[in-house]
Amino acid sequence: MRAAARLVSGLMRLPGLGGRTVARLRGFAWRLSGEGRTAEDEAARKARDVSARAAAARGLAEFRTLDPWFDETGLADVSGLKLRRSDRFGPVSAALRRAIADLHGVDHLVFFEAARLKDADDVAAGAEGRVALVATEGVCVVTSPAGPVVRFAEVLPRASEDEARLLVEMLIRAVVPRRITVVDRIARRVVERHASAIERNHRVDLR
Amino acid sequence: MSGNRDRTISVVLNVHREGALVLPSLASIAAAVAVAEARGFDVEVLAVADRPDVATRDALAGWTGCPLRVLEVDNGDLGRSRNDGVAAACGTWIGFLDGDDLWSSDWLAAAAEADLASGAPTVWHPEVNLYFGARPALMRHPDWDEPGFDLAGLVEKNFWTALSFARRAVYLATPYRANELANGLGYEDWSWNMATIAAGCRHKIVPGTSHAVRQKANSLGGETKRVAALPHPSDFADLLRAPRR
Repeated sequence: MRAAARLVSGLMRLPGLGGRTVARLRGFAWRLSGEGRTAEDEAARKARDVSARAAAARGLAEFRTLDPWFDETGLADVSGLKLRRSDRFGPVSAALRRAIADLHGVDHLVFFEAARLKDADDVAAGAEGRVALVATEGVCVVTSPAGPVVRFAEVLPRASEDEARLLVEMLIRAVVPRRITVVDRIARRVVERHASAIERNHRVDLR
Repeated sequence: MSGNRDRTISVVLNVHREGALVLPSLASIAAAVAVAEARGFDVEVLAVADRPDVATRDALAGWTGCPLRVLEVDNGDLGRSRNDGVAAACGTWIGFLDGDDLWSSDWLAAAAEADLASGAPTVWHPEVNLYFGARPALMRHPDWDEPGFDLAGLVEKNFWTALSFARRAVYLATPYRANELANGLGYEDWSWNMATIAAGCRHKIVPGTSHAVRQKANSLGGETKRVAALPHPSDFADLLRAPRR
């Protein structure tokens, strides 16, 4: 399974693939890799799925008697229904956890796109406190200049725009920097969309 | 009610403009009340009607299946209305139901028994949700103690629905935030789940129980997604800086 995961990861790096395709392949590779879970986790998950289906079947029998309109929905049994889990821990969550650990204690987040690295560096050079540069375009890379040391940590290779936007949103919320500087279109969209919420808690500079 | 406060459950039914769809929810409550009373609990039922329409008001007024107290409020907000229900409730525990959803009949008793056996502040959820209506589906809730459970995913997706059960003290300590969709803040349930965890609560499932959640075309959830709202900021993110649990 791990070899299959490597193969899918390789496919993900082919040029010309769209963001959604890459995200789907990444999720598929993640599941194949077994990262973040053990065989025991998997066995427990399957047992819980069986238990949940049984609970749903018992519930359905009651719901049909309680609600006179229930049968109009055409839902006569649960066997054909897909069972989803409401929790999710996948490559994006894992990337977020790594990024949060990397960015602990940062005062100033600078979101930048690769073509504007020099602008981001200029912001960092004049910043007070601990500053981190976060690139979101295609490859999401965290540059964490803690003091004079610049360290690169590849957080989520070839993040789709949706994934990058989620990471930007969550990093702002998790790191809680005093200042945010945006020299990046994806981060700009996030900040503008949630302007009132973000500006209430952070000093924001859009460039 | 016999006044046995230590074993009293308060049911809070939040309604708005559900009309006759409130009646199956009340029937579901009556079935759960009967099971809970048979297992030694007292139950009070409170409907919090937030700006109800005539059809909803009439449905509540005509209900005779179990004693019902109706509190009419003018919030225009589900988070505030849940808080009003908590404030008006008298029980040791509170169980929330939304005005067109259904519980399995064992829900109240099994959740209260699970809480009595638990030694830690806990918010309880059903094992599985059955979504019916537009897009039928099953959704299994995660349990805090299950293998592979990782809190970090909660920043990406809400794990648990709003139809929770916990001690009233939990709801008093962590009230719901009002939805502020115009300001890009919503998901009162998701925000509350994160806030309760930050306050030291666990979220667990009650094995064998289920809820039925009606899928609607025009829901608060749909509107929240449309405006791309975020949950309220909370101290939850602080927990993610700790090593993976």
